[in-house]
Amino acid sequence: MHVFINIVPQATLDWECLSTLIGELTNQHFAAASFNLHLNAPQKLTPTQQKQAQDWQLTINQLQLPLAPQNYLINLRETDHVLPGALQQWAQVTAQHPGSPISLAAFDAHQPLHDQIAAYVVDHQEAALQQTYRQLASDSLDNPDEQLLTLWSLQNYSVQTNLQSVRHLTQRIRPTGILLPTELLNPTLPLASAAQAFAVLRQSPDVVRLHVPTLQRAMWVEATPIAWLNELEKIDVEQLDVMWQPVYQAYFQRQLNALLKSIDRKQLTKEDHTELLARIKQNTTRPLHHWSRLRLLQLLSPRVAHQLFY
Amino acid sequence: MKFSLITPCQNEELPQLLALRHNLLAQTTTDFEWVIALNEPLNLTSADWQVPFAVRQVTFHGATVGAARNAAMAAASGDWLVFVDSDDYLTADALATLAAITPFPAETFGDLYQYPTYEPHTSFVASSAQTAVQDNLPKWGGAKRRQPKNRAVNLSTAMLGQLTPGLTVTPTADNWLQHKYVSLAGDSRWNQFNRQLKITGKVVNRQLVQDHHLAFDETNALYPDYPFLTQVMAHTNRYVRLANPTYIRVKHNDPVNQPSVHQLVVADRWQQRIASWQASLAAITAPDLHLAFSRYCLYRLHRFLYMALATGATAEDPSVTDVPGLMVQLQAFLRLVDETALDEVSLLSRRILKHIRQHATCPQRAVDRIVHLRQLGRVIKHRGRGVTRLSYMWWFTKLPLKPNTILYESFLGRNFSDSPKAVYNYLQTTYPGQFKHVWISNPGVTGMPTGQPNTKVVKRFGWRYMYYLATAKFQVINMRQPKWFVKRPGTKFLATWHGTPLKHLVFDMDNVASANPLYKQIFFQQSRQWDYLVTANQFSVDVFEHAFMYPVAKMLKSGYPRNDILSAPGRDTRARQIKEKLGIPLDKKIILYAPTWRDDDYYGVGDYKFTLKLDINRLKRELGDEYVLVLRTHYFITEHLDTTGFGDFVYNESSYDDIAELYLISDVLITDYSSVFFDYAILKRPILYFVYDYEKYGSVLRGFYLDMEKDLPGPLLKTNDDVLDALHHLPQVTQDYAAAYDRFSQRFNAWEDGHATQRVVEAFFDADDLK
Repeated sequence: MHVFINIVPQATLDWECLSTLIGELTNQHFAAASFNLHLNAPQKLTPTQQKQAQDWQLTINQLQLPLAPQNYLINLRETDHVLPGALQQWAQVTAQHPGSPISLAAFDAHQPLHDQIAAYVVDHQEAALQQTYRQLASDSLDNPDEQLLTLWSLQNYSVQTNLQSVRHLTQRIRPTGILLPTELLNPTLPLASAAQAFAVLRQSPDVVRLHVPTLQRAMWVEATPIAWLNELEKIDVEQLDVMWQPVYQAYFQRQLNALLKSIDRKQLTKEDHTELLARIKQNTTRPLHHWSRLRLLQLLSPRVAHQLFY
Repeated sequence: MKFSLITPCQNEELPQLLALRHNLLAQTTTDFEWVIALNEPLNLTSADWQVPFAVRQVTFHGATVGAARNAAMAAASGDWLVFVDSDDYLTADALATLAAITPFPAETFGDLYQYPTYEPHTSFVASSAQTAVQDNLPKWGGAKRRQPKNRAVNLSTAMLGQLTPGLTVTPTADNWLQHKYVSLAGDSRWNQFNRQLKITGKVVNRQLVQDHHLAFDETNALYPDYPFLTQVMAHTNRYVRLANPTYIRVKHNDPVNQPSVHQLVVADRWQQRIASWQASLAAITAPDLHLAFSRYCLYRLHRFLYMALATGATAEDPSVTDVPGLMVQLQAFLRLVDETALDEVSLLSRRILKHIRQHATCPQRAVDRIVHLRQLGRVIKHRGRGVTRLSYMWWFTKLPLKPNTILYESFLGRNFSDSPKAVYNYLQTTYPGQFKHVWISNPGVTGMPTGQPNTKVVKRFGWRYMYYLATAKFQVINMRQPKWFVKRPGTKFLATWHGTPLKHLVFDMDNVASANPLYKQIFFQQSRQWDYLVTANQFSVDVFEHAFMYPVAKMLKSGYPRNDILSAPGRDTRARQIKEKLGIPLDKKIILYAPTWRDDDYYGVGDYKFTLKLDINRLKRELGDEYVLVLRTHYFITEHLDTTGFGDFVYNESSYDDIAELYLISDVLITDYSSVFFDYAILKRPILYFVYDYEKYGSVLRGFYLDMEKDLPGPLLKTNDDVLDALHHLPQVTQDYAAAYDRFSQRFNAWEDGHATQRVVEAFFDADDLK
């Protein structure tokens, strides 16, 4: 198994974040991994940065994906974090169940990692695996390393065949944070896109879910709502197979609701927010729940909605 | 030698022993010996038995599985005894995974982690060969809620290097991270007690067994394991179960022909069970284990005994005989049981158990009450669902029979059709006013004979349905009756069945992985309630005899009542009426296209199951002037099929009630693997087989009674070109297949002379009924 890690800037490239992420990746000493930075046209690296990239063996817009089986691509944003041991855990799972996309659980980027690991370990203290490990462990759980080991002790995966479950699509359709088998990639779609992840999902017989987080990242819907809506809109419902059309439409409406819920955190300008509301309103299809935000939005103009919601 | 695999085997189980040998060859370690307890001689020197691990055979006295295991244990030489039954199998890494765990002290009770399935080894090997995944397991055969969904991920040593330098991970913890397992010790030692009390897949230290003289009960044929397992538990201080399942336990889905020990119908099953519990409990000295085992036994009494003891207990558990004797035995057992465990049992149940302990008699009224309350509780839990069925069981079946009432059901109430319709029409015409007819219908079904004289239509599973199901003297049904149907004395059941069998049925099926695993058993019980089974031809008689295990003497060799319409004298007039009803021009010939529904196929992206492979555009272009096409497919295909572009060329009659009427109007049939052609052939009109996926369908075809290459009365066509060519040259096709058609008709339609209904009615009803 070889993992191609494609780093996609969230907006303008944050070099400091990128350095951190590359550090987290190289510290894992995982030989079968290569890194690429996907830079959009106006963005360029300074000579110092280029030199640094060379030292990291980070290629720029030169992702070569050989069509060998059992290779995987994962798109990450430079603001994401990779937990220690993540690559080895991915490798263990792909060795057991090759050829399927792997959906990864993640911690939230807005809270300290240490607190989240501690809370996770406490939440799962009744799990048989953790209980067995605690019988054998030498150190107490106050030690951060011991917490990490306990987190690893819990690691497990499931093979899910309910591909058309609307509830699970949030885990399975996203441009970043999913391990995609390279032989299932669609060359006509951008590598880091919801459309690509969705295309891979539709071709795959099952999806593997790695349940214990190996990443820390922000949700697209929260971090970059406009980009997320763009991604969703790029999926052409008309081109989908009959069986997938209603599934995707239901998922799309759910995401519109999720967007409405998440964009009242004041990270958008007034213009952006109003425009986003207008687009959400335009994309909403009936029937709607009586007491949903989407329903309320239908009764208001985006401008009034902005003043009410923001 | 690390492991000794202990396999008891009866003589008739030899084929499955050979399958297990095949499975053990795939183990990634060979550091084990296989000790087989079998009384029939095995030629271990033959080439088949030259395997990379030691194999030894031992014989044993008596016929019990306990005696077999004891003999094998005595001959074993490995450090650890691993109990593997001959019908089960292991995943390839099972023994290697176990061997990798260090330390593994002698006082450990190991478990390979049992995974139940109905899929036999051969079928699993075949499906595994098609996939590259390493974690493949057969289809789950246990309770749905118990299915293990998550697999533990073992870690690589490289990961430990990412921790703070200087951090010490104990060697045991390090080993565990790479080879995860679940360990129960101390306070949690008796968790998962039920799992610990199953012998298959267990790993026990041989020295420990020898030191404490542990053995299986050789006198108890059904429950020899409890004394051994409870003593192993008493002498070990830790239970270690692998984190992922590696022991595949094959459950038997044919309890009629191939019962497992637990499925055997034995008169004194409860007596043997209690005897085994009693012996085990008496030998346990440790208080915590005594309490845990008491809880285990009491739960089973509470859960299963009352249903078996209740008045009118039916097929659920027919094994309670000699109730007074059982009560005396239970009294002795309950006196040994831990009082704390007994106090934990729910109030009503506790009262019954205490009564038995005190008086050694069965408190029948209390037992009946608890069973009734459970049935009622189930209905309340499902918010009233099942209340009509409960009324059926409790009250309706106690009402007097209605001697002139006939209950009809066709395709589970989905339509008014098939042989029950033919019988109904015949009786209405020939014996008007003599019977009261009740038709079962699903909600929303149109075309039912509502408003016809002496006819009622009742909703399936509704109140009136339950009432008539219990009281009607005659039942005419073309599929299966409900599992809980009670065959009352004095009633008569006519099973008309719904077609000449093409695909293997019930007992001829190799493996029923997708259907209800108890399908064969349930079918067997249901078919015993049939008084008569209508058959269409001698071929069906022969097939039903082995496929249904149904006595030939009770079969009616009559032909199918539903097909009388195809031989009736006025069939041309009838055809014209039907054409007019459907709005089909009288001057056009009709092609009937009736393909099967391929529910287990997925052809790839954008090429879904409901794609119609017949090129309708081309058919219309080339044949539109002369023909129209009538479609009869699964509703799912037709719902997604856009026929707007085809104008008046395509008539979608997939929801038309009576397919026989569609046969009547059509001039040529195109089908594939559907059994419709048996009936259509009565008309002696051309039949074409459009089998575009013939190669892909190979595995399914092996499960057919007919040889598709030789037995059919028409050509196998694999492309649209072939179909069109055949349609353009129909006279030639008819001529080419004339001899095959004759043979086919002789074999399958010799009895279809248009009077089948009369024969069925006269055989089913007594002369007194028809007067």
